[in-house]
Amino acid sequence: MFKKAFFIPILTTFIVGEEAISMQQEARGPVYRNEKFGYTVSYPDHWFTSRLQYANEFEIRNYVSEDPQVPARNRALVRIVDKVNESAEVTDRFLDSLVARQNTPKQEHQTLAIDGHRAVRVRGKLAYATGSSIDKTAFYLAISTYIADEKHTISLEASVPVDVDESVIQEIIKIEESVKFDKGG
Amino acid sequence: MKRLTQVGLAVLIAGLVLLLKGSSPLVTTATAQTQNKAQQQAKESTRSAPPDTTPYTRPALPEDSAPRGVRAIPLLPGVSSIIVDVVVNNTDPNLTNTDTFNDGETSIAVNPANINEIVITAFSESWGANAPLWRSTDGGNIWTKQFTIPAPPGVAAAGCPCDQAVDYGRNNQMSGTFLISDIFSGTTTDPASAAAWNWLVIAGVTQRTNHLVPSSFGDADQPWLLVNRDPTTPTQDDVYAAYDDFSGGPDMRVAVSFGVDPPNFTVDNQSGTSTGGINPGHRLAVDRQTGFVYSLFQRCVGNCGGDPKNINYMLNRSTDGGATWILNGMPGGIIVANADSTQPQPKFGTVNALLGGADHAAVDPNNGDVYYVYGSRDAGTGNDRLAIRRIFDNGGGGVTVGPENFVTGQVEAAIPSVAVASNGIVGVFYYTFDGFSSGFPIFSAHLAQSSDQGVTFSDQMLEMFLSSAADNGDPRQRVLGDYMQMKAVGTCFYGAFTGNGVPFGRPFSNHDPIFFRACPASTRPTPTPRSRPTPAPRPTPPR
Repeated sequence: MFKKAFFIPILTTFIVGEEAISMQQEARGPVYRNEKFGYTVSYPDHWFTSRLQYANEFEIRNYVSEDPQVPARNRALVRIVDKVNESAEVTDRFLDSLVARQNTPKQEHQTLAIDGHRAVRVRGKLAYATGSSIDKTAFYLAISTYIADEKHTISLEASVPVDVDESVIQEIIKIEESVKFDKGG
Repeated sequence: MKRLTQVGLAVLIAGLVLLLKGSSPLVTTATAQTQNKAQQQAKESTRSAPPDTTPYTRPALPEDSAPRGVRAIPLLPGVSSIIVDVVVNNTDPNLTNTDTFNDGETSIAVNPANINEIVITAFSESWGANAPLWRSTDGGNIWTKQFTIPAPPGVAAAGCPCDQAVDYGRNNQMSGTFLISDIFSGTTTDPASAAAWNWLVIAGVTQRTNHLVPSSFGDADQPWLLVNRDPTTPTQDDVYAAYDDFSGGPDMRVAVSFGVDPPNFTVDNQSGTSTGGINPGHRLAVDRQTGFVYSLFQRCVGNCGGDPKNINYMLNRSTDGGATWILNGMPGGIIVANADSTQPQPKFGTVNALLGGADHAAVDPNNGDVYYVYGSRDAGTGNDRLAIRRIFDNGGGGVTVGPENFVTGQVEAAIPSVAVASNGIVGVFYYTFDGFSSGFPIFSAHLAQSSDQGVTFSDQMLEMFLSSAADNGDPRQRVLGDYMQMKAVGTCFYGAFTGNGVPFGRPFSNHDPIFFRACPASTRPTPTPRSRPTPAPRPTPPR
């Protein structure tokens, strides 16, 4: 489970308000800012933004493909995906559907509050259909956090090899929980 | 006020959880899963298994010759059109009685300097000794199975080639790319000779095609090779090898070798990022008049763990030899279409997982228009149809995506391959799943042709056949393969697909590479060439 020490700064952030947020971001390193939807995501210095962006997506990785300094088992990426639903009720129903899933050894969910917003984290094995004749399906560990912002949903979707170090998982969780909304919760 | 209430509630709950469970103060409903489970999952991760080169054979059934009483091989229109089983129409007359190999997932190369010289690759036998290719020197009437693809020197290649693709350039040079656990590419001027293959061998080991991207080592997949003229030196041919790097998104990569034999891939850039849940179906299309190259792939954007999946069909372009990829200002490519699609499972026809996507594109050699074929599930009928869009120059350095038209009617279709003949006829190869007979799936191979820029199509069935195998319970079973390939040379379409050999004279049911050449008469004037943008000067690549 999660380390107590890791969450204390976040808890502090909630208590002391927005000034602490900006200080915390400075301490954490780079920040992705989404102007359209008014939120930020902080990530460590040793993570990199992808050159390739899609309309509603932003991607960060802890390695560069051409010169990966990270062991293969610890290479991680997080996709930040924005989706606008028809209404806040639709967003809620989507999160309800995640919560309604039965926790199994292969997939589990947690209900969270991130910056005052309802959120659900889903963690489980993700199957990549490689199509290779020599491979069976490759499995990755997916750690996805879905945050409700009225009719807008932010999905922070991480994937890592299943034998990834716990420290990388903690980094991912830290990134996914670093979301701060301009308008607050 | 609302925020303060929520914050207060969060702090209260967090504190309670912290006190009671010694856990995250923000987790209100935590599960009891532990890291041990992740470690257990790690042990379940597998990336080494025998290829699906199962020799699907069974005794012939009466229906193999005429499924549902229908003539299995209709006559193709056109005096130059033929369809043959390369195992049956073979210089070895006994091969029809002995060959039982899988023969799935075909690729085809036609020598532009001698269109009678045609090469087909398929899962027709693996390395140990040399791997085979199928070669014809008389335009496809008679074939020889020649064991003339040597393993790349210094590479442990037993059990492969796995995925493979071949293409001819000029000067009788045929290049091929081969998946082992990485990708290796070579060039030959004589496919009949194993010794004629050239590989870039450094210190006794063949250079990986994906050597510039260490993250892809051991994670490269499904290479696709095409030869194109250089964008700035028209007399030079470059070899493009597209592949997936599954250590990433997966990442779509395109490695390029510039005018050298053996190929030396000195540029390798990312043309896009795919997603999980589907195979990216990464393919290339080349414009031989400008040297432009297109990279196309799929991104699952909805219901990626279910069926059907919602897919963005993507297109990107390089005008500078693969140094940069951008289209309409988008470095990651543009969305050509969004549609639902059934892939990779449930298996197509219950026996072929669609692990190569449902997308393909080709360039009109006359005017540079791109024709993009993709799977589109009809929500009303549940049929996975094939749709097509024409993408054309917008006059401002970008492209305009045209409206959607359908290649097929209300059928269950898959594994498309599109080509455009010199007379502007657009051809689309595809399969349909037509139901069952005697417990075996019925498939039909089709060639649909359009003489009005992909607006309407006339369909020609090439072969209707019973699968040699039924569902074996393996979700990755592929009795056909991930892709088939058809190319256009002049006014003819040259294609190879995997089909049952019984209608051609095989004494037992087994899948073979089926070759077809269709040369439709033009029904419209030759298109007027359009003025096209000048290729951008290529940044100096690290050659």
